[in-house]
Amino acid sequence: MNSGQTTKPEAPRFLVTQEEFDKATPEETNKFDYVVDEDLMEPPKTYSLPEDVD
Amino acid sequence: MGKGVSKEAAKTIAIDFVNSLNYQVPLDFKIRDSWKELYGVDGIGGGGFHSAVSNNERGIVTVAANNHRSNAAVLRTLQHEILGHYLVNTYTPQEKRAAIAGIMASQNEPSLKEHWQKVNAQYSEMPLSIQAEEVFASIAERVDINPLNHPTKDLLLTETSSINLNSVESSIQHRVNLLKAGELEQKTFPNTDIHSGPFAGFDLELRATEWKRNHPAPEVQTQSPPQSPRG
Repeated sequence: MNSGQTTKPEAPRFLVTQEEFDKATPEETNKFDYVVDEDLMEPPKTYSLPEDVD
Repeated sequence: MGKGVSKEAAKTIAIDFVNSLNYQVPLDFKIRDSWKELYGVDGIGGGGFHSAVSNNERGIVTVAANNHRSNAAVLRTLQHEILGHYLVNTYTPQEKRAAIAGIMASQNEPSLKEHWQKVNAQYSEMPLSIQAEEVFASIAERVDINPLNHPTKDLLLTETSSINLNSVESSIQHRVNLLKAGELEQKTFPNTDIHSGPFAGFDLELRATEWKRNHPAPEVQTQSPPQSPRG
């Protein structure tokens, strides 16, 4: 993984594709704390279902 | 879905959300346009929570942006995964078992009927403890995380015998306030969760207790042993 910057351990990070990482502006990288991750994940057993109520 | 929310918009919603929690969310966010980009298969889910394995690891929240039709729907997904699944795992394993047990015993509570029906429809084959956690997460989707000077209590831990919608909402708001103050961290992990490992039989145990409560054994006439004659 490539990390955009070092942050406090409790701060969120964003796992992005290499393409997103390469295209990101310094401001964006700084704002979101990007880390490259292109792995597919194991689907979760449960997940939220968006409701069409808006 | 062509009219879904863009990945960029979902990212902005996520950062605004964690900002509202004072950035006290030690999770990674993986936001893609589709479920397939996250998991390699098609799906209609909004997102998922992947727990950290231990307190040295980070959990991951996923969001399939295009599966949402509005920014509000993305926010509900974030609240479901973070204020639902992450927050419930900030209880210790013992506390989580008590909280989940209280929700499991609340299936006939009128104020929770809507949530139980929704969960039953989606997860009827899942163990009851997992369904109860989904009820918690379903309620978390619409909890106001900025209640105005509204005193909160962790009623799930203090009023375990009569859990209702207010109990769960109060507990979530209480823990959100602790989270914002930096006073919470994940304490329950998959190997200590009630859904797995040595606690997997917890559902059966609770159901047996419930069954016994609803089917009391008939009273048996006891007889005193015959008195032995005194000499």
